[in-house]
Amino acid sequence: MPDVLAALGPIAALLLPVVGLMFVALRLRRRLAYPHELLPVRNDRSPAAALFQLIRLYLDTVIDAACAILIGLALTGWPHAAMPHRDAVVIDTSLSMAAGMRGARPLDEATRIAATMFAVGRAVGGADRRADVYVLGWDPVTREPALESKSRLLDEKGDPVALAMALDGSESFMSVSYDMLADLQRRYRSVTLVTDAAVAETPWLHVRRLQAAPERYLYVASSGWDDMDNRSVVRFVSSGGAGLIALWHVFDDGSMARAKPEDYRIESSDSGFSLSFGQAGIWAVQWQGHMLPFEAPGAPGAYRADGKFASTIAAALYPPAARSGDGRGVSVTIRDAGGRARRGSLSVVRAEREDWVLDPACTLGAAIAAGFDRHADLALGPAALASPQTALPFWLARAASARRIAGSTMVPRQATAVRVGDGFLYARQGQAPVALIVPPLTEYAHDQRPIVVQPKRGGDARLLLAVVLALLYGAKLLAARYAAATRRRAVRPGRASPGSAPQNQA
Amino acid sequence: MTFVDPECPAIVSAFSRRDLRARLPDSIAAKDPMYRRSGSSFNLKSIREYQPFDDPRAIDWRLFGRSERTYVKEFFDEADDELAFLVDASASMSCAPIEAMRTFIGSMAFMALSLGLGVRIWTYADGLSARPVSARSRSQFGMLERFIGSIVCTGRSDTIRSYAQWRSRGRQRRVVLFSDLHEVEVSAHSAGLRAPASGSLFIIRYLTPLPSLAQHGTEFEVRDPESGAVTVMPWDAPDDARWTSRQADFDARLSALPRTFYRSLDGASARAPVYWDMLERLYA
Repeated sequence: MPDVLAALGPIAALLLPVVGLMFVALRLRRRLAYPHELLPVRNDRSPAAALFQLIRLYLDTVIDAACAILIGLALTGWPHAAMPHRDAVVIDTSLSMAAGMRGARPLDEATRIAATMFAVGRAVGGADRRADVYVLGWDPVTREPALESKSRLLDEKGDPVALAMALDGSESFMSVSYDMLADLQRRYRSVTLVTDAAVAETPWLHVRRLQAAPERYLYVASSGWDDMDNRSVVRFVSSGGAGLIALWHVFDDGSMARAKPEDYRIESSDSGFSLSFGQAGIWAVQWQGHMLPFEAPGAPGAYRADGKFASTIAAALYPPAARSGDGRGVSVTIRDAGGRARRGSLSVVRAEREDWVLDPACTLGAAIAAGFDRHADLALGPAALASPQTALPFWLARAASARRIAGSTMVPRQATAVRVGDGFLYARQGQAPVALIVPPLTEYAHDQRPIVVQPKRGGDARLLLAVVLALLYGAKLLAARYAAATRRRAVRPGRASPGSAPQNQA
Repeated sequence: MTFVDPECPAIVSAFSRRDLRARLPDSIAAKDPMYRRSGSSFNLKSIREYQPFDDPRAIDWRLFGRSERTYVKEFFDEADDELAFLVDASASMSCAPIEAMRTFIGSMAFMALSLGLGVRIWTYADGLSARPVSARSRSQFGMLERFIGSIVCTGRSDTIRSYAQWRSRGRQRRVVLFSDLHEVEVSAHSAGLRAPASGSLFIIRYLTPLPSLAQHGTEFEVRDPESGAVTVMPWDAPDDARWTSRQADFDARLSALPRTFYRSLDGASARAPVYWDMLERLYA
């Protein structure tokens, strides 16, 4: 009812011209002087027939009024679902919620809150007024965020501890998308999110912010192939006093084995430590309560030159391994001109004027004078060729050509997910892994930037309204055509011919 | 302004070759004056002695003074040669074009005078007018035209009553009733429209068909010109069919009256075929 009341204003405004036109039509209605005795007798007509005739007469106005009402309702957000009377409580099952000791995790507190709301709602209003419990998580099979009702599960377990245990077994504890909460907005009177993240409250979303576990993590800062040592180096950042407890070697089927000391070297740094490996592979670092899988990338391929200028550049590039081609990765082709932004190649051209600088994204922020040629990635002039930093784009292109699993975005449908520590490894049966997905850094480090959940607009309802409006205006056109046709028939010649009555023969 | 259709002289010329008197009833067409009907003309038929059934006012007092015997003079009836027009001048007649109505009456009067028939015109609304206008020759047509041009449509109409009044006053045997007959249709009193004894009744129904004024799928305000009442009338194809069917029934009912010629006209109708049919009926 409040929605209808809110729509009254727009509907009244839209009906004004319709009513105005109707009054004008009534004012300009044709007036005749004619003996009433000669008018058709209408007393024998049923009320239904009179009603239908009235609708036929005012069909145009009726359709206009219907369109005005529909548009007015649509302006105020109609059609809504039936006004909900129930509340929803959503448990965030991101990785950070599972941090800490069992029983003292944010997840355990969240299940207690959800169970309380569930029980209170049921006690006050019965089964119809209880709060529905949802879990916001991530589905490793579809690799998409998920929002799933757990009310039945809570009904069966009846205990927040049992619920927490059930969630431990069913949820992936990776990362979540809070935008999915917008789906609940129309179905519930209010939505309560129990989370440790900094989600902003909105009129329809209440947030029960839980105390997050202290920060303690190891996370991959960078990884690459060291041509000098001919080893794969992975650098870690450490926070909260987290230290490496164990290093695991992850096999293609997801099984793990402790790394042998000869398989890796570890070096400390100011922010953490770095691990280097003799060959590419998937490994996992373990610290207090967590195990994070990571990939040590392989050696990138050598440069291939196509053209005289490109050959000169390739010959000048350091280190020698880049030229010798002993890497196992895909090679990077340096070619004279030949188009821009091609995968696996860099096109170069000589430039006389260097009025520009190279794209900072290709130079790690360094400013390198360059020319411009729309047919090449790099237009290099004397200044650019004299700068040692000009090698950065070539170095980055080669580093990107190394074989990687973690960066893969195309995961085959047949690939199965295997839990490895905090992440998932995707591989086909008996084949090499194709993807490694780990939780984002925000699941380990607290991010205080507020997350704002935008309410969802009803796209489907708009489509429905558009279809209804189109049908109404189609009916208007058909009615106009029908009326024009009947008028043409009505004024056909010979209608009132003289002496039409039969002559008396008497 | 003349109220004569341009086709009328040609029609008159075609009918003037026929001997109208030879086709008249025996009382009029008889060569022997003894068989001609007495009337009120100036044409002396006979002088005879007063009989008890005679009107004392008809006694010729001059002859009585000379002969001391009562005689009465009889004259031939000249009303037999007249064509009477009863013209509906009620307000409802203004719903159709008045000029077309005047032209029809003027044309018929012109042709009747040209063919040697006298013309006497009454107007009526709720009753017959007290003073008819008559003409016996074509030279008097101007006077008729002025009268026709002065007809003003006003008041309520009562055709049956007016026709009955004419039956009691008029002595013509041919009468043309010109009306929209709207109240006759409703009251179903068309039985009161009987032709004069051994005469003919010509009924010309003059009205504008309602379907030609109304569009389907619209409604209009209808004001009754006689009562002033206003009603709103929706109009659709079924109304159109209903009106047409009802008028056809009424037309058939009037056409079935004995010794009656009936036509329905509107302002846009061609009138010449109706003139011709009426004159054919007169000469039949």
